Amino acid sequence: MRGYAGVERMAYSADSHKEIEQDFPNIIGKYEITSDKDSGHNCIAFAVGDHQSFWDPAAAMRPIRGYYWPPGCGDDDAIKNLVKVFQIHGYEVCQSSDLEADFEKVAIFGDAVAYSHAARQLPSGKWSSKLGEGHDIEHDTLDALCGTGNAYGKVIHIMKRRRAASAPVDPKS
Amino acid sequence: MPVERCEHTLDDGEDNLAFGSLRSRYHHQSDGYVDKHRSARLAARESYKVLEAMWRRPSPQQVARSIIPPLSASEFKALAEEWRRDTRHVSSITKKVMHPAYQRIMAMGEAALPLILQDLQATRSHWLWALHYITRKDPADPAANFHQAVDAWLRWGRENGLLSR
Repeated sequence: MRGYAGVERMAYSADSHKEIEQDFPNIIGKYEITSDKDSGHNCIAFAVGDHQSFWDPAAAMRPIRGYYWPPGCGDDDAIKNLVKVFQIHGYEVCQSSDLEADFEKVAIFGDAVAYSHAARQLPSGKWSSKLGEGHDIEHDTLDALCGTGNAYGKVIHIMKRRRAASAPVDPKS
Repeated sequence: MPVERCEHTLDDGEDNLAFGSLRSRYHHQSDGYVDKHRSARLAARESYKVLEAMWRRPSPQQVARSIIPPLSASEFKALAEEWRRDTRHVSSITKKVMHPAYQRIMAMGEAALPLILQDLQATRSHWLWALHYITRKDPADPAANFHQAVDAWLRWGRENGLLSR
């Protein structure tokens, strides 16, 4: 089986599926695991296109080595700080999560105060997410990750940028 | 009564500074040289007891240890698993670190280091914050990514005898 990036997909254990479905009850039957677990990068890095780093505003507040946060994007998990991160990567806030051929989109999840997650849209219109320290997944809808408890709350913003602007660049530059 | 007549040699361990103030107080309360001398020696012993008690007073770390009993290896493992289960899909370091199980482990202080390093070696979980908090060190390169920082901490643990080679 081949995934969205042409990578050969593996079968993942029932435990992996159980963990995901416990935390995201809305996801059952609407997703596929696309990578091994990796504690070395998170959803924000993944959404920006960096699979090597763990992006977290705590890196700005208390500079513990091993984490990264772009300068000038605040030092806490306020939604406006994550919006700024995507803005410096060419995204702007938009209204619709529908697929637009010329644009790539990201979705910011959270609550009234803080962000909890970011997902990026695939050319197919499906979405791709890195779940914390866990797997990368491909999910059919954004609703699949919404909910209370360990789920990611609700979608707060959709942002988009032109695909031409997404030529491979160092996400940290 | 000339004060200098009351000068005497302090017993071993008696503290001159503390003794001085107490000696003056006793001089005002006694008339005879012998009484004053005895009073002074008594005061010196009392002041020494006070100082000794202060010196033996537990450090803040000792107080913390007496309030927060150390964890056994199995208790540590249970807390680490609880923390991992509850935060496995959380991307925020702040939320991970604020989990009660993580806080309990950090409260162990230096005694937790071998357990944390063993767990870090096995799981590569986000223990960097706890290690930094407890040791006030950061052996990783400033530009290190997470896995490079983990490797630096594991090296540090081996070099300091906290993790078997």
